[in-house]
Amino acid sequence: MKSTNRKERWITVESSNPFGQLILGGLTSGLLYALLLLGFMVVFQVSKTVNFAFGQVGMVAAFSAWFFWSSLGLPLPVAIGIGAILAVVVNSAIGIIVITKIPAGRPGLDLVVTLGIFLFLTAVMQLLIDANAHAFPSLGGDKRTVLGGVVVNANDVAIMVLGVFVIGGVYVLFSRTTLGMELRASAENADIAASAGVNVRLLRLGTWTFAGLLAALVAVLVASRLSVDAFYMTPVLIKAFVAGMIGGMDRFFAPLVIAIGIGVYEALAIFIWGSSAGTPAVFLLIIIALAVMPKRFTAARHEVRA
Amino acid sequence: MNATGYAMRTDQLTVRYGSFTALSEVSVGLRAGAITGLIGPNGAGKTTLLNALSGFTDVHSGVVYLEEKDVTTLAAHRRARAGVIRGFQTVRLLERESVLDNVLLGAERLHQPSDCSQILGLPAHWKWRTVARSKAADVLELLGLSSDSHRSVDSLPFASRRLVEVARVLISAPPVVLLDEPAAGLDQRGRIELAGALVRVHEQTGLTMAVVEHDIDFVTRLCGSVIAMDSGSHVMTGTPQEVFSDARVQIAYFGRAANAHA
Amino acid sequence: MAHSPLFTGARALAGIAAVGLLLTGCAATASGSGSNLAVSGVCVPTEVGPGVTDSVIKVGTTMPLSGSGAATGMATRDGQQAYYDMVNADGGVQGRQIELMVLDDEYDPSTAQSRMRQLVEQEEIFVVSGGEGTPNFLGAVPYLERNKVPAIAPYAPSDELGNMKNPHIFMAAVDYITEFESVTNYILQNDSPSRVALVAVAGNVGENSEAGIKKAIGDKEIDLLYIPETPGTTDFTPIVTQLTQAGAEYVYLVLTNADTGGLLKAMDRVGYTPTTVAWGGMSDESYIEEYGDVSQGMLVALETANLSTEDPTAADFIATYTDLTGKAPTKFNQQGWVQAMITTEALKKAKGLSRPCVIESLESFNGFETGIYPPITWGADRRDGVKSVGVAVIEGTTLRVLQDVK
Repeated sequence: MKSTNRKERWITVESSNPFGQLILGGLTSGLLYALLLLGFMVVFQVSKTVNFAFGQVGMVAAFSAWFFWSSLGLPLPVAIGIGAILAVVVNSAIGIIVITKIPAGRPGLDLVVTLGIFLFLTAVMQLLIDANAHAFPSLGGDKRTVLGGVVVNANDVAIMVLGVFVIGGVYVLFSRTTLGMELRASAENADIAASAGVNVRLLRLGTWTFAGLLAALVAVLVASRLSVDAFYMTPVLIKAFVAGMIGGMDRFFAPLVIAIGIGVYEALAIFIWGSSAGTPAVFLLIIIALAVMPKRFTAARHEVRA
Repeated sequence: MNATGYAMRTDQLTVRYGSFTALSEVSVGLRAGAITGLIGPNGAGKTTLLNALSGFTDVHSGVVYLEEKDVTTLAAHRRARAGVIRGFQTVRLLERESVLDNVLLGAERLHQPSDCSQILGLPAHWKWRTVARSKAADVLELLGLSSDSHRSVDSLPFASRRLVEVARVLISAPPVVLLDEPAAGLDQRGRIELAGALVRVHEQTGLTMAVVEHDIDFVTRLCGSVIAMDSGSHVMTGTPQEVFSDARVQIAYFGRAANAHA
Repeated sequence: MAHSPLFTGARALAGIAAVGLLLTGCAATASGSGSNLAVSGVCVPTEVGPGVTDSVIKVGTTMPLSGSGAATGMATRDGQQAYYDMVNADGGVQGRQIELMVLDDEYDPSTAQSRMRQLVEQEEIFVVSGGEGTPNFLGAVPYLERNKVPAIAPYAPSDELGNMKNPHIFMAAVDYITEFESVTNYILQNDSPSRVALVAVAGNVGENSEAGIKKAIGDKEIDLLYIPETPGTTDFTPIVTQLTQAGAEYVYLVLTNADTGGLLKAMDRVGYTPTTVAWGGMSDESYIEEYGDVSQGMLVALETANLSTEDPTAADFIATYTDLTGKAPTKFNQQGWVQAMITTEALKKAKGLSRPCVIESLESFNGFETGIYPPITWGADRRDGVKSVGVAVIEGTTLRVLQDVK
């Protein structure tokens, strides 16, 4: 047995504000859901596609980054960089397949195709790497400080900063730049945009590329807080998707705020009612939302105009 | 100006959709600097011709020329950048944007400062915005929409929505303008005002215009020359008087020959 | 009518035997405590059960081969296959080659049940060879019981199994109650904590772990907080907050590897470092290799002989396995191997290749040495095989044994 230092091993935790601690945990998780949702929504709005494989695109980034770092010994930033590039390539490839192969006016086909890609990516990554769960570096997890009785970790801060920066940046881009105007026009009516000189196809592909980068970012951050394997992003995508359905896939701030809210709500629900309450609580939320605000649910899905 | 005097023309243009032939070996031209009317009964192929000129449909055979350059396979957005701007038969607007933003979209094809300078709000960007907005203000005034510039388009009456689309088309003073039934849904007074506005724009800029229309009066008021189509074929080209008094045109339009009405 | 005494005696005997059979039959159905015969039927050596031909004996089971449990499922299957390959190369059992079929149950009870049905009815397996995972295997148990198919040494620790309630399941893995009682006893012999906590997969697994810890605590003044967890958790802050609020000095973990990693990271982020105690699955090399950094000083239950001991049997196993497969075995390979070993032994000793004969053979196991598990003993009324675990601690990249498996 270890020496009698076991009493010292049990370090008194400085967190004296459990409620605050929960809120912080929920906010960071929620921001990750929101960032993933952002990538998903951008593609949905501009390219009119539901990409079920989006979580797995992120997984490709993080899982391969882990592999390069752990098995090949590459420096972590390099490994993450290569992983991100892979995710961008994969998502762009999916975009090309969807844009060029799925004819306009065939709604629902994108769900089937991207679901197939989901299964394919999962199988491929399991084959190339393995089916185990692995520890991803904590990315700042060992640096912490206490604010107002809440232990704040460098990892938490990084997520907050990145979240605000990325969401804010995308919003500014969308609303204040020509590129944003072109994106909005392409999203709403491809013919008008084309008749105004906008290269709609290129823009659509560009959103897939950007979304791939977002998926990689979120996946790496999630991996730094959990474990990485071939399936770990699925619960994250589901919660992001739920937020999108409740808030409206064709809006901007509403679904993102709801995604953050789900993170907080989940943390509180699990703390109060236990872990098995987590998933049911989220789905209870959907039911309530549907009952109270029925019009929110069906964001009118315009057909793709190629 | 090129040797032929046509800003845009087609040569034996054929467009097919499956087994249906929408345009059959059509060779017509838009005189540079003129307003040309395009008439014919429903199904004559007028909108298809506009689509072929602006790149919104694939061509089975034949050639489309812009300033005597073959643009048959040039993508729609590229043709727009090259100066061929069109309106649509059913009004298409960005519903959630304001009148001003819809019109500003039409200024897209003109030189833009880089996105970086836009995000950072550099002076070059502000200068551009001022120029673009002043052009927008001009064209809105021309069409009587100045007081609506900040309204959201989905709150406008139909006639005004039509005019917003026309404004979007005209703001960048493109060398070639293609309008598809711009007066549809307007009352008599509206039609007269629109025709007048188009004439004024034409006088100021000398642009080449093609206008698809059914209203004989509107066409006569506006157009120096008229192309008549029927069932995918070119019937004749001439002045409004010549065309509307032609027996073939009358049969196609009214089902029988009748005395011409100017 | 006059009857000869013999005749009368024979009839009386037959009558008593019939009533006896009837009673034991009823008793067997009612309370589950019955004789051999009521469970298995009679072993007739000439009878040949399903799944047995002149050249092949078909065995099989379900395991998680996809989803979060895939790593352990696949490793266990590989371990079984390696053993059967060795046996088959040596001529097989009772002159027949053993054919193993493992179907994916996705770690889900209803999937396990339908796959098991598929194995028994369509693939016609003879016996169930091992298994991996508790909630999934439990899903198939009622079906196996109804159809009287023996299952041999599945790794599905649970207090539902290893007793005559489910007499067709022959367990060689202790249930979580025994496991955690054993480990807690060890802890209490060497320390006196006042607050401990348990984070475990909700349901049977968690409840049994809790029961085991409570048993060892007895009436001592020790607070135990049980936090059930669901796999697929993306935020461990709520659990960590509950733990820090409770101020637990020892935290027991009965979770998947992935979730253990996530929880330990979340604890690390707030600077909370209690002594952690884990279920037997964490003694697997793949866990230590992966999560060793955040698991230093973690106490682990040992159900199988530690692969890094100097015990010659362990070294022997490692060498044999590496020769056969080209890779060093992990703990779950070892689990599969021993499951196949026990199944092979049962088939070898069976007087005939029918299910009742195999059951009879299993019941005759008395201190059977595998070199991996403690000696295994079953009997007419006994299905629990093994009653103890060892304890080890994670130091560096290996396990140091504190209390041996025997």
